[in-house]
Amino acid sequence: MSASLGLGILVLTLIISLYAVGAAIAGTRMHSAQLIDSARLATTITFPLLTVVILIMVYLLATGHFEFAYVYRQASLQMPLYLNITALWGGQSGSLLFWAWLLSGASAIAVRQAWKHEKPFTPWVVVVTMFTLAFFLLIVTFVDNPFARIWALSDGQVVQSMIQPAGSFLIYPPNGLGLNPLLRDPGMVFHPPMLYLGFVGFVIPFSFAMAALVTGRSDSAWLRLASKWALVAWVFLGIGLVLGSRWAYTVLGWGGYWGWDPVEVAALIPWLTGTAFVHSMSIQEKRHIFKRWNIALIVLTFCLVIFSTFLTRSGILDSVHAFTQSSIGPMFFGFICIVFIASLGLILWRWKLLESEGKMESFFSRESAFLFNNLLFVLLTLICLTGILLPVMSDLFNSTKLTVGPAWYKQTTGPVFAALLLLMGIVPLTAWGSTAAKSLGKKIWKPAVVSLLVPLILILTTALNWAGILALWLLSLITAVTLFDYGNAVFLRARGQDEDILVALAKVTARDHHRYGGYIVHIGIVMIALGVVGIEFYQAQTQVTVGLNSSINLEGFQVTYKNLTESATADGVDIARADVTVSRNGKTIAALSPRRDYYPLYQQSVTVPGVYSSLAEDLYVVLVDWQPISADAATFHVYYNPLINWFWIGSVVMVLGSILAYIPSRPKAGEKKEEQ
Amino acid sequence: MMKSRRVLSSFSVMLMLALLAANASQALAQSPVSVTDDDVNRVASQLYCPVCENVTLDVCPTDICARWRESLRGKLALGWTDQQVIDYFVAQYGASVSGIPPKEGLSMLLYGVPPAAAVLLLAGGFLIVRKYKAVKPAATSPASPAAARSDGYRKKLEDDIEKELER
Amino acid sequence: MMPDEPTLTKKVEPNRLPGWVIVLSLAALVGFLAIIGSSLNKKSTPAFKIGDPIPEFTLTSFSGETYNSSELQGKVVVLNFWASWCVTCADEAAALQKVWTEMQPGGNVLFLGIAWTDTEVDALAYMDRFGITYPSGPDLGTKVSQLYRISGVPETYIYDTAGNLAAVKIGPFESETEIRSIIEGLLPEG
Repeated sequence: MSASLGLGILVLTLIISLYAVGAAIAGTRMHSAQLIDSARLATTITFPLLTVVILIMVYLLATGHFEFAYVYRQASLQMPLYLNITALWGGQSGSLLFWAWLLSGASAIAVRQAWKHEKPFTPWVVVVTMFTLAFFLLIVTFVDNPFARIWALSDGQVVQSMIQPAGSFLIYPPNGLGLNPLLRDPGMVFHPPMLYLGFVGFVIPFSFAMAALVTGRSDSAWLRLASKWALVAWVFLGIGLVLGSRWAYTVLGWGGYWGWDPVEVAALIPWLTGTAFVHSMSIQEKRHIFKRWNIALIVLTFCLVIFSTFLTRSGILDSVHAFTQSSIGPMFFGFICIVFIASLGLILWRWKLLESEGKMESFFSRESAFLFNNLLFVLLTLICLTGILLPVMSDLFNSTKLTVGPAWYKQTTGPVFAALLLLMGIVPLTAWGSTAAKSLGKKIWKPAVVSLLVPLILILTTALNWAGILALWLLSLITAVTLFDYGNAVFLRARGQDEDILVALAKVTARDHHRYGGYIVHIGIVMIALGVVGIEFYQAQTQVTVGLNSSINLEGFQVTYKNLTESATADGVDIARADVTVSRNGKTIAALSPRRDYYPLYQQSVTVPGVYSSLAEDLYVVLVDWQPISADAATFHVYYNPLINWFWIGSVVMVLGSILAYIPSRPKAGEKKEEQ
Repeated sequence: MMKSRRVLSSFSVMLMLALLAANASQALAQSPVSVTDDDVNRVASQLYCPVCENVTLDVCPTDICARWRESLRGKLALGWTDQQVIDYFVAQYGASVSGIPPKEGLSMLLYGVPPAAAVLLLAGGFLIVRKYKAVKPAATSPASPAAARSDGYRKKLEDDIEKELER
Repeated sequence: MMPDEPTLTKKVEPNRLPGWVIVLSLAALVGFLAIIGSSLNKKSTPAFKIGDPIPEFTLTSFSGETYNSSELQGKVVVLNFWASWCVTCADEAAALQKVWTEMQPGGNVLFLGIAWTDTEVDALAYMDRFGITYPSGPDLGTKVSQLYRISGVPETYIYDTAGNLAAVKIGPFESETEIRSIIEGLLPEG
């Protein structure tokens, strides 16, 4: 009953979204305000409708209606309720439905904004968002429907179908298979929705850009509407990526957080162009230059969002992350062709219209720094695209499978990331318009001298590791520059206004929160980079088989094997759990229990590491092997991951900084908003 | 492991010969060496499980991977170098088991595209800045854009610079 | 130039981008899409369909004989991809060997095992365990399996005496009879 309701509403929403596209186009052609109005209304109504569909789906998952193929595959009586609900985005059709739902919500808001602020944009925002929505609903309805049920035909065959085949009866499996063991983690609650929010978020600025192109508005009107969306989408996508790497770190048991797996790279690519966009959009807002660039960049970002979704779901990429079914490939490809060609066509058509009015005055200006920042992000995008597409091309042209591993990515992206960091370090010293080389030099020497302390201390106290020392010096230089600049402002204010330093700090930050929020973002990035440097240049690891009460030594830590227990849970998961103690300088500092969970149903094991964490380092212990019955000996892989926690801390700082930087200013009479 | 050496199947003989020819002194002269798990992992981390995509051999938990690690250990015990072992695996299981594609044919794109793109983009960047700079005298009086926006942030920033330079 | 105020609408200039720029950009995009499209197409269609001639490859068996695919005509060829670690391969191994023992004397049939991603020790142990006597060899560099774009093991390709693909079995054979009936249908009468 509820299922046919869900299916019915799904089809209805599909029809409504198609109607909205048609009505919007017809409305503009016939100059009918009435038609446009109804298109707008149609767009708004898709959200409550899809909300009902989502609620029904959640209900089916939560209550274990295993007669639905999707529920049978993704949910299980053994999984806790929250995981059964997250199963909504655990499989292909559910996650596409989820995508569509988020998109309908965003579209409703976007259309409202367009209507309020830039009326002529409205029909085109409707066309872009509802066309995209219709595409997703088309797949969810006709290709991979989450409401399909399992039927037994009269000849004994079992099929899944939305409609009852003649002479068949419904099968009610007593239990479902449940999520893939690797997905049964609290990480499942936030990681996918954040990524999807990021992906969906980029549809909206794209729709504003397209609206501007179609209507021929060459000014920054579209950008004023798009910038907030782009920022929010960018932050969500960033959070999604970081949560994913955190999840990989705590569950996958390979001692790292980012493996340059093709699907990871595919999700990173839109973030790279998105990052370029959130930087360059502020240049257009302030300097009226880079108009073409901004349009091209947001269009590219959206295209890459769609493209990477396509790559991971069409079966083109071979990856642990890839969804297995590839039936949606051809349809998705058709959608991509339409989006890519229409976007490029529109840009080419309006190219001349988008001439910039502003200008740049110096190589040392902030806008030129932003330009090079953008070019470096585009370079990263190209590198990543090359990396994921080469195996595809090799398979196509040479029928040879290839793997492009982390070594290549590190070699190629490493220098670019370093250049970006360097650029980020000097940006606070540049000004809009121009900065004389001399004043740049004057401002940089003090922090530069201070930052030299770090490599000096490192050389004196640690083993020589030139690459690591160079990287850490770069980070300390950036930190010093940022803090000097920040500190100057604070001290000046404290002295000038005779305030306490902390009060001055708060007030300076509050008065120009766009700028100092940006500084906090930069500090966050430095922290993230610190974590990366720690793993890349200072990680140590060893794998040893030890007897009971024997120890493994690594970087001053002692890991002692104490015990091993094997047990099976009620739902048939075999768990091997080792108990180890971690000590340093003869003092026990932690007891860890690395595990290996084996899921016979999936013939898959999940490695759960035991981690001792501190600000300085992680000791990451993985149970590799053991002697089954006696437990006399076990093999452990121990990783020493210095500074890794700064990666996560930095991510949080970065998000907080972003929020601080972009909360709307309190409007002051007669003063226009300024950002960054 | 010794068994595999004794079985004189032609492919392994051929392969051995090729490898020996390439690095005869090393492979022959060394007596069986003791191989630690760390040695195995060092090489295994550069190899990919031939069956499960994009999982490196050192952390792959499947039975098959355990066997490949044993095979790898056997090769190291014979005194093979890391590179010899990797080359052997590539010959056996195809180029996709190595994370570094061979520098030939299509794969040259991996080594050509990034530097070429870097040069083009950076050159383009300099040209853009120069072009924008060149517009300057023709467009408006040099001072006006800055002066026009001397409100708010811009002014504060300039003040900051001034003050800072005074210190 | 009005840098102070955002321009609302610039007057529409009649000029467009030069035609060659437009054509070139669109051509580049279409080329890119063509690559992606054909890759998708290639991934979703099998490498060979019934009736296709046997492709060119060479296999050297564990016991040292070399088989060149172009020299196999005149016999029914059963090309079986397997691996020692594969559970379902073990299900059909005995049946394959049984049929081979029956048909080998006739001289009209050739079974060829292709060991996919296997270590030699494990492969030989597996052949020992099931008493496999038909020639089997390692797929060096996984070249043959990539040629056939196998999706896993076991997979079996059966060619008729003219060297054309006659039957494909993805997954294990269910019984000896299944194997036997396919082969017998392909053998010359009498």
